[in-house]
Amino acid sequence: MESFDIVEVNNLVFEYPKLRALNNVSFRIKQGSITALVGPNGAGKTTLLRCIAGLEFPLSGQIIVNGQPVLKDPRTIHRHIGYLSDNFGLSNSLSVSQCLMYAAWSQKLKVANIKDTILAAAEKLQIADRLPQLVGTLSRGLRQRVAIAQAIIHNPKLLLLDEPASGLDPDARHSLSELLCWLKEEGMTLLVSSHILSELKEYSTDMLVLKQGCLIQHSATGGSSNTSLVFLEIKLAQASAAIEAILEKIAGVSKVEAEGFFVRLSLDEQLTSRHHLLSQLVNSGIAVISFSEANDMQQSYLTAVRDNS
Amino acid sequence: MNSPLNPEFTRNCWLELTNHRLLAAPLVLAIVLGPQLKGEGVDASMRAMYPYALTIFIGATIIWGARMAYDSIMTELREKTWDWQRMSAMSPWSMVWGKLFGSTVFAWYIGLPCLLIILLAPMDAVEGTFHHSNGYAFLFLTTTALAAHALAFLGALRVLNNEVLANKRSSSIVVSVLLIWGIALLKPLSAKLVHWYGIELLRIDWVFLNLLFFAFWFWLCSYRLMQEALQVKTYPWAVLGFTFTLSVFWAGVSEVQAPGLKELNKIALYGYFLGGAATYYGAWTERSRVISIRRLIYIWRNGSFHEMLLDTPYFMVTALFTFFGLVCACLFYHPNGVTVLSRSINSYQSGLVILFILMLRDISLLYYFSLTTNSMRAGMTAVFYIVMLDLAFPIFTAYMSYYFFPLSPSNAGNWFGVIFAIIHLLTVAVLLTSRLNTLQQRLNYNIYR
Repeated sequence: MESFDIVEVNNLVFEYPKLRALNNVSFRIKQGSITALVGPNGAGKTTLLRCIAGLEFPLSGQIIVNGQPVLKDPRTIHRHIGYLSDNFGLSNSLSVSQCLMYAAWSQKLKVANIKDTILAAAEKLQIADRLPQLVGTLSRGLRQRVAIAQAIIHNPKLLLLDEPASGLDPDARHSLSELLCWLKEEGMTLLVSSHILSELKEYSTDMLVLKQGCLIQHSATGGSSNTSLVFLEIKLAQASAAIEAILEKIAGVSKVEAEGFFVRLSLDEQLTSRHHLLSQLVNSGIAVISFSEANDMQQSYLTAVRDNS
Repeated sequence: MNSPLNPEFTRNCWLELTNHRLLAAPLVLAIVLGPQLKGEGVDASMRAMYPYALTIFIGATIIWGARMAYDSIMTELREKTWDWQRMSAMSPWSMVWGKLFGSTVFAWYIGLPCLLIILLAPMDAVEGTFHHSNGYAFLFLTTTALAAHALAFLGALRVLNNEVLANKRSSSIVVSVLLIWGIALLKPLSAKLVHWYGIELLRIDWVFLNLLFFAFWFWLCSYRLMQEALQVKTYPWAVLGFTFTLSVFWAGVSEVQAPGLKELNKIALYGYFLGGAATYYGAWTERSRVISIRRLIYIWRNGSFHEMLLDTPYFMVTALFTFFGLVCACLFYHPNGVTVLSRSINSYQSGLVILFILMLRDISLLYYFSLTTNSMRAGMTAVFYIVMLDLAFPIFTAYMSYYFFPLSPSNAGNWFGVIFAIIHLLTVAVLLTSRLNTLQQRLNYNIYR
């Protein structure tokens, strides 16, 4: 099936009294993708998500979700959107089943048996055994699952997640990655804002980089990436002033960044090129103690942010 | 399981009606009311229980219920559940009645047995406070509770939409107002007569009419603010309707038997003063005052009148209404003067014009400071300068024989004062325009980052 643009943002400008939080932001998101929304603190990520969800009104610009303008009638668009805020938005004094029941009722689900729908959602998110438990007594990871179940109970086409991995332990983060991939398989489009790039790499297909309210990069990542470059990180026993000059002479090497004991660079993806690079460094007397592939998403992000500073 | 009538009401019932509460409330009522049961018969017991039932109803249902209604919104903010609710498919009206009745369900659970006692108590017990009947007392108290709950809810919605005073202070203000209201109800209302558009009313009937009026508008305005919170845009009819009907309603209290020029003049004056008060309140409590004006200018430049009406801040609507009141007050001017808010007003046209221009100046001053400091501080700074300009300097200049200040004794009420008021307004307007232009340039270059 051919994918279409489920989100279209054109020239979006959002202002706080003395700050332009979003400055002429424009992009499109393909249906069925998982887009990572990254950027430094205060870049405008949460504001952008809230604007797409129709929770904030921008000064100017246009947002179209599933072919309908958000700003004209946000209430209609809400039927197609699930939104998970960074604090999950759950009533601590209610049980998990009450939370899900309320979510299903308030979304006016037209199903024969809401109880079965809730049970099915709970089983998918592996919280079926927690249904009678009070939300306030659950761990952060479980609360997050309840919040996701609540956000997707009406089977939205687009799911917006604001910092979903924050505060989760490594195990819970891994489960989250699996969960998001499963949601994608179910046909949902996801837009995920996060600081934790290593996790985003596991599941995202695209990356949006925001800086100071401006969109500075929109690129494909991970499996869908068609780049022929790899990012390498080299650790040295002692800093070398000559290393940049040495590296630039080696074929296939680009974007060299040396900083104290660390050197980051791009290299073509041929394994023989890596072997050649390492031998050249050792032969030149450079004290290499570590030579590894860096997180390309992180590297791409850092390059984008630094290029625009 | 089928969907209930109102999910929000059901959710609030889950939260409020815990097993512990359901058992404790009847027990407490039995402890308080039980000792009042008399062996002489039902009437004697009801007579003895009546004052206790009245006190419990005022304390638990009216005052505590209002607090619950206020908290129904504040808890959403505290638990960060409000965004999720805003994205639900529930209509604004469902949210209003679901929250208002749901959050106060326990207060009503305590109050209903008390209302039953008030309804069944002998007439002589009720007569001391309510001159008519048990049914009247029942209606009076129920309306009071509905109005009080809606007022507290309205206050919370205002906080929510503007994110100002979102702390215990505003909650305690609402509760204090309701406490005074409740205490006032405990005192017998005097049988003094009130004339309203030529109709003779007992004072308690006049109070009841006010209660009905405010209960209606508090509920309607809650609905309107909920629409705003749920991103349903509508024309600003509620604020206009409330100010206009209140002007007509209150202007009716008069010694004059038949409506005439003097009555129209009085309605216009009430409209002028109430509109002015609403304008000041709206301007000072608007959170994103700078943004709302910038958005309005943007929409105006893009030529959408319909969108402009939808986005116009309340204070601008009431300022226009105040201007309309000013024009009508001058048109329907009565040479013998009228009494407004217990003060006799005679020759006043120039005075009214001065006050209107000064209101525009004050709001411009507020916006001027909003562009430099944070909005809370801007409000206080503007108040300081207004007090200096309209109170301190006029006294000082009167002493020094200078006349630049419109409200100085030599200028107030004459046309020189109007000219000075215009000079004040223009001066502040020039300062404001220059600051707006500077801000625009800085935003374009993102200097504030």
